[in-house]
Amino acid sequence: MFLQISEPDQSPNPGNRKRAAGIDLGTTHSLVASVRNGQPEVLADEQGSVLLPSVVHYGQTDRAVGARALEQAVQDPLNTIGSVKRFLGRDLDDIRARTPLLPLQFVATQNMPLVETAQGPRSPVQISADILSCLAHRAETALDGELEGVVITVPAYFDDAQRQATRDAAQLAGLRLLRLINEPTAAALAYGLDTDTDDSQDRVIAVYDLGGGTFDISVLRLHRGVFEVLATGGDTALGGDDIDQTIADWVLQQASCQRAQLSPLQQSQLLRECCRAKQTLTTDTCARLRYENWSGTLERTRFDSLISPLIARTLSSVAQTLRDAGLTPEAVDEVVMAGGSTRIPLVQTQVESLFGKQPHSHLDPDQVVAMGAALQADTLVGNRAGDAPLLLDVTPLSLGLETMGGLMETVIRRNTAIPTSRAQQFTTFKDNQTAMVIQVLQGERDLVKDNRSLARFELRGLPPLPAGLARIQVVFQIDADGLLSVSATEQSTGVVAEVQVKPSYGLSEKQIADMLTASWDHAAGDRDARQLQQARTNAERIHDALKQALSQDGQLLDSQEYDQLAQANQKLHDMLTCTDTRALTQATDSLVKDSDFFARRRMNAQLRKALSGRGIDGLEQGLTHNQD
Amino acid sequence: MKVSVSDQSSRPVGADLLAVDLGANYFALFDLPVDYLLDHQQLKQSHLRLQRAVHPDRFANQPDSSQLQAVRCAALVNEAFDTLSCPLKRAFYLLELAGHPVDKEQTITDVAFFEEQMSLREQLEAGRSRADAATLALVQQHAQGLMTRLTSAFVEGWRRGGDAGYAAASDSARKMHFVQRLLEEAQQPPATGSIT
Repeated sequence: MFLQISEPDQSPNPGNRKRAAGIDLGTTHSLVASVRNGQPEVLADEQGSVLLPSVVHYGQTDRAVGARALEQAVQDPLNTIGSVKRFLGRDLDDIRARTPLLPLQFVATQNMPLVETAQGPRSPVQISADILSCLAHRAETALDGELEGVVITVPAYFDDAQRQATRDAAQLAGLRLLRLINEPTAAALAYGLDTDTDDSQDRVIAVYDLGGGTFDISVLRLHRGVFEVLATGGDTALGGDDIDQTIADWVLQQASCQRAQLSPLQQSQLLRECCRAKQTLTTDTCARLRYENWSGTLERTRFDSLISPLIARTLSSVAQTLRDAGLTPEAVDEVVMAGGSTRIPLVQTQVESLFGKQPHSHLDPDQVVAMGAALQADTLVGNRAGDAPLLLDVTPLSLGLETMGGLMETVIRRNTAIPTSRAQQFTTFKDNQTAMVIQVLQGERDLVKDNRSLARFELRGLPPLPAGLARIQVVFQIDADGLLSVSATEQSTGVVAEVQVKPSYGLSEKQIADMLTASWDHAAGDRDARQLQQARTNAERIHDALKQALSQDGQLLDSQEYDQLAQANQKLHDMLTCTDTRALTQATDSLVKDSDFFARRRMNAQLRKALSGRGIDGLEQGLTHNQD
Repeated sequence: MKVSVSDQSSRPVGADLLAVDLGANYFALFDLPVDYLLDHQQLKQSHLRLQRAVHPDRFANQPDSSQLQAVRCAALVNEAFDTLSCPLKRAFYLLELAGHPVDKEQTITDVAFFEEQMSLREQLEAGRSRADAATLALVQQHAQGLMTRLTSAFVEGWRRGGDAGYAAASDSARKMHFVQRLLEEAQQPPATGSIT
């Protein structure tokens, strides 16, 4: 039939594989993986460890990431920061409410909390960037060269502020982020290719992902290499850390101690002890615990009853997500487990009994997310062609606006396929009103105050008109990273309204640029060299992309257009060796601008080719039909 | 989140970048005849084929401007797919194409329909508060039957066309909207189950 699948821009080039990596930036530990010899492989450090503890220590003079930082946790708890993922995109009240036990000192700033360290205040974004840099360095050592791009995973249930913060961290670490993908989707990708035996059959996969700090459930349909997420749900503050805290509460109760009396040092010691006991209980039926003068035994049965409320919360998310997908548990063909906390026997038995089938667990649950991310990075950077899988994901949370009376009106519902865009019409309610305020929210509750406020923006310079006559169109767009952007136009007069935004969270572009420059200054004046290198990499990428486009779709141009673009591209190529960063950046930008029309034409050609080979006539017939 | 001011005039999102105004007819986009009854298999297959062509992942290595175009194209394809997949949205869309868009704010004056709705809602509330599965199933069954009848009436009116036909179809579509909401509520778990 007409199932000819067009393959646009990427041809495999075995001699010239691009270096790409997938990064699982986790709450308790992080990993990096890359595709080598066609297989995703997690990369180890010099000591042979694959898991990098997500901990950064800021000493008076030095900075340590991972196991070396963790060693400092006991002596220097105030300068040793772990579980930073829990603070990404959150404000101080949020953090204090969720993790009252934290031995860290926070200072509040306008839109983001900072942690006081021996090296001055650090934002969660900066701390995450330090972890990313460490992993990128590991990958660059293993792959013997600079990375062209990375895919970073985030919990499917992360909201816009949390995703934006993750993207900012990548930028701050100097990495080119190809895509943010959802952790359970990455896990499905790692398993999907592995078990894809019968190509013609649709399969429904449920991914239960219980990590160190977050829980996700995603339901996907796999159909001929397309991974389509049907629904997703979860809890961004529920994971292995909470299980440790639950055990700690039990120990303190047994030892007749109060939490508030513990020093930061005692707290972190206690939590480590509890984590160790939890791991023991994966294989043993009881674990010895010792705390100060108290010691005792935690039986598996007691442990199970302690954590069962937490597991029940995950199961109720699973039930809701299945309802959102319009499926019953029996309709799920395969269950995939990801995240270290799925090693807990109670989790395994409860998940198995809910779905009535044994979950897959032959890939290491700690590694499966990074492996899936590596596969996607390999695809996106351009190392794969026709057989590349396609991920179609959804937005996890509903997006809405504040209406009169403090209610949220939904604009984009949760589990809508992304990318998506929706236009919403607004009008004025007073004569000659020239400004209005729009509050953007994310969440599932009816009341504004129960949802997350993402931004508040003001539309100014509206034309003075009688009430109700102005027509302001606000367009909300969610891209493939799950990130939101908003634009606004006044339509009745064509006056473009001025938009002022006050993001509730996160860094501005300028703040990131400043931080990036500051970090380069810090690295002994190699700032100019770094900037030049980045400009070159970018120019090279644009050059290669255009070269490939010209050779594949040159027929879309007339000979004059073709020659102009080819010459301009050659000119950029000749400039690659120059040392004038500014000139190179300008040349790259202007080539992108001048070739924009070609990109549009290619997109149209793509679409038409995909329109079952009918070309434009069929469409026009369709259009005529509807006018009957 | 990023915010910007658009300099575009008031055209459908994404449609401006295409030589073909795909926003004008979603059915044509998926190679389907303009009709309420449609081949879901073909809709699905066309959708995946289009996404393979325009999804931003296919342009990840291209300049930002190309990626932005891909985002807008893919969003348009998703919107079209969503509109045609959902029976109620498809009904509203057909009336829009016919030049008779439905005013959802307009009140329904059909007293008998209203009374039936009220009675179903009361039964639903009662069933939920008592966690009475039999009553809930009965309400659902009744609502589904109603939906089937309204759908037939919609299709009949729409096919007849003309002012009278479209007005009848509009009336059915608004009623379908009501029944749909009732069905959605009936499918939610009872209030005791917490929704996170």
